[in-house]
Amino acid sequence: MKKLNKSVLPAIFLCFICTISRAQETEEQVIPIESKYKEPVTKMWFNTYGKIRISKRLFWDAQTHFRFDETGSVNHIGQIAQIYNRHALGYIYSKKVNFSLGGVLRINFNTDFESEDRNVVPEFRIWHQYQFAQEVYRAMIYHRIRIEHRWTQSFKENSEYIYRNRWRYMLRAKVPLNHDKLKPKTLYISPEAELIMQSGKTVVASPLEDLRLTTTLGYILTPRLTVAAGFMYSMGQDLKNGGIYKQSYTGRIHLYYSPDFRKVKNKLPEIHLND
Amino acid sequence: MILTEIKLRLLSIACFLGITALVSAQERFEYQGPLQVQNYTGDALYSYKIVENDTLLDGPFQLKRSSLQALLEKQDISFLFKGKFTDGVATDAWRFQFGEFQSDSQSNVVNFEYRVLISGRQEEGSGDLKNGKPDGLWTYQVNQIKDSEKEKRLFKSDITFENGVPQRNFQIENEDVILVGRFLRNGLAHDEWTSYNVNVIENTESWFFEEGLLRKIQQIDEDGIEKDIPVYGINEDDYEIINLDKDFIEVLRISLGPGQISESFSEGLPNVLAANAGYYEKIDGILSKLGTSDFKPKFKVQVPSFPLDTLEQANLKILVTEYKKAEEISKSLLNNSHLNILKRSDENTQFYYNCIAKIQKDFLDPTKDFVRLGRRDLLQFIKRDTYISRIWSKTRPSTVINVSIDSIGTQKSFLLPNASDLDFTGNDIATIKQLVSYANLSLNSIKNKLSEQLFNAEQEQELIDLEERLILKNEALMEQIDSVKATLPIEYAKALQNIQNLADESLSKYALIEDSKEKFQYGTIINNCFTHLSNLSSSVAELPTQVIEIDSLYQDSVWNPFMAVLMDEDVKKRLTSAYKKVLVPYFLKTASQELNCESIVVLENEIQGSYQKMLLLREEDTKKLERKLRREENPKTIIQLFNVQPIKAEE
Repeated sequence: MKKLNKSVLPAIFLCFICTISRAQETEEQVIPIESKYKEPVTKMWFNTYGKIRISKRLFWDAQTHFRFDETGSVNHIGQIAQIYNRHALGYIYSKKVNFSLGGVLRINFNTDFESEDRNVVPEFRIWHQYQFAQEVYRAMIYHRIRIEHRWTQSFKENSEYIYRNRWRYMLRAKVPLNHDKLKPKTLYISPEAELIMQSGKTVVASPLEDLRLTTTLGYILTPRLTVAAGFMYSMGQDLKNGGIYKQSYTGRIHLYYSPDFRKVKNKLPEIHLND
Repeated sequence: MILTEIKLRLLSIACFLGITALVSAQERFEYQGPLQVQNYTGDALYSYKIVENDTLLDGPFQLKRSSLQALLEKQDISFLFKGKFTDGVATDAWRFQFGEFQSDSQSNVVNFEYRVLISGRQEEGSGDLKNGKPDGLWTYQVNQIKDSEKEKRLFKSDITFENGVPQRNFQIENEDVILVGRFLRNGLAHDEWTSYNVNVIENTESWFFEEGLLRKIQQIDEDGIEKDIPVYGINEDDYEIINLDKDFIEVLRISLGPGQISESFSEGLPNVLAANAGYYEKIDGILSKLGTSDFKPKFKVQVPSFPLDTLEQANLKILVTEYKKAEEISKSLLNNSHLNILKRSDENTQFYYNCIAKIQKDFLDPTKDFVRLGRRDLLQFIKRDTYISRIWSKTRPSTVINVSIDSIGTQKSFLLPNASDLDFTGNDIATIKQLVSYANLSLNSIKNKLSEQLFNAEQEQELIDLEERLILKNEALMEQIDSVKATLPIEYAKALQNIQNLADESLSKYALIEDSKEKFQYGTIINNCFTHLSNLSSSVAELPTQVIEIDSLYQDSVWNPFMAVLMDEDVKKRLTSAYKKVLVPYFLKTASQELNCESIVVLENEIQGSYQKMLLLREEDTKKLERKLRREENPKTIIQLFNVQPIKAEE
């Protein structure tokens, strides 16, 4: 059964990718001679991350993010920009390796005051993720590959959904500051870099959707509760014009929780996952 | 139709006959498996039947044990009991083997067999039984075995029985003595019994019996000179049949007077008979456990009987009791080390000590044998007046006990009041009783006179011992506390210092007491207290380690999915919090405040009890307890909720 799980899961993901519909739109782009960087915008994210254990091998990945943008007068937290609901079923392959597959419903708010288009539009995604952790001295390093299949639409009335694939790789470290390892009551610093590439019919000259550079300071309250706050710089090509780069500075506040509602006796093989 | 009816009838007759046969023939069962008889546990194979819910052995029986592994490892104790029972009674041929063997662990292969040579000792008894009694020739041999061959015969007896009664000629021998003799049909010793000393063949002693009555003893020494000693005449009024055993030899020895029968015979003969009786008893024990048995060699002799009348019996009873009391006092005083020291410096004590020694020598030692015979009911076979007249070869002791009290021989007398009417001149039990009673009364009187001196000296010594113990304990406590104090947090050090202070204060208080009795009483109390102080200081010093132990015990390993690492999670926090945040501070606070000998016992019990309870509660369902502990700040309530058994102050 274990072996079957290991071999079947990637196969399912592959089939899934191949059968995704490929509705795409095309739009003419005029690439400038030199790249242009837009003025950075300021943002603020309040993210909650839940990993709720439901069995020895499975967990429910539940994330809700509230993302704010600046307005003309207020930086970072001027207006709501997106509400993000990301859910997945996670599979714990080992203590250091886990996979997730699920969907995203994102509510996008129109942040352009001058726009007369719709104020709110939904966005749908299917996502799967492969995360690998490794110990390096007292720190932990994480490699995260996340692939998203994304259907978006603009705020214009009756605009059609465009389909894109996102290819994301993130390298993140967590370095304990006041203890020799990550354990409760530990303050840690977490530098991370994530490269988000995209593809699809509408993606002509802008494969680099986003490059995010973040540093977070976190505190592990208990094994099941951690809080963190950080700052992120990001830049990426404008979908409409690959020569134009968007930039942003984002403040991030995170809450990580991982409850376990299983009965005590089912929790017992917590350590020996492969026994 | 008619044919069917005939068939039915035949069938019912057959059934009836079958059932009748089953009922009339009692079914015999067979058992094969382990069995223990007395101390012998081995593999048994036997037949039995059940009669009125009782298991009766019936048929062949075998119980044996031998272990090659035990033999090769160290020593094997083997045995084999083989024979037959009929209706629970041992019958027919039986064989008993007992072996104790060692091996040199070297084996040879001979004719497809592994052979291991053994050395040790083997006993074997064999013969026939009838109604559980020996019948016919019984042989019992004990051999010393070396390399699987008989090296030496240690014992052998050949005795012929008829219905359990020894008959005709017999021979018993051990390493030193060979005894041959004859029995009448009723088991009475008869004719000449001769014992040879194996090592000195010329030295023989013969006993001549007439229907069990030992008439004379004939001794032939190494030079061939004969000496006849007449023993019992045939002119007494009464005779009694008794067993020929150690008691008979004792009676004989006393009756004849000292030096009449040779050591070899008087020692050798009873020894060889006792050894034989021992072996027979061993078999009797085994057979009695399995069924009914009467397997004892009954060698009978006749002795003249001089029964004790009622008054004599009553006197003897008193005499035995008084002798025992007197002997106890005398021994305890003569062996009293304080008295032995005291007598050197105190003339009076010296006098009394010498009196005791004289009473022991003149009164108790000579009557020792008399009392022993009385206890064993043997005086009835002894001519008492002759015996008593022989006890004191010179003069009899008198009520006035004269002893010298110095090196130049100054005499001093001891005499109990109202002793003038006592008369020690008679040759009867009443006289001995008077004599022993006087000795007992004298000893009691001396003991009372000495007791005060003795008590003071003993108490002084005890006080010195006690002080030594107290000082040692205090030093040990100090060392114990000093060794840990520096490594522990301040609140622990404070508690330990307070414990040390209590010990110091107790010692100071002890030193100030002047009255020795009071001093001893208080010293005994603080001696006990010091033991508890030592325990308490250990408990306090161990607390930090115990807290760490409890901390790690009350943790679960939890996998954090965001960090991908295992983390320790505190569980049952209300319990750990009650222990660490309420109880431990309370223990330290109590230990740092005013302590006394009662409170330290209670505190020590609370510390250990709570710790032990915490160890147990980890695995128990504690939901209810955790609810009760919510916001509980009172340590006494927590200790009560932990169900720590209170200790009584005097414990």
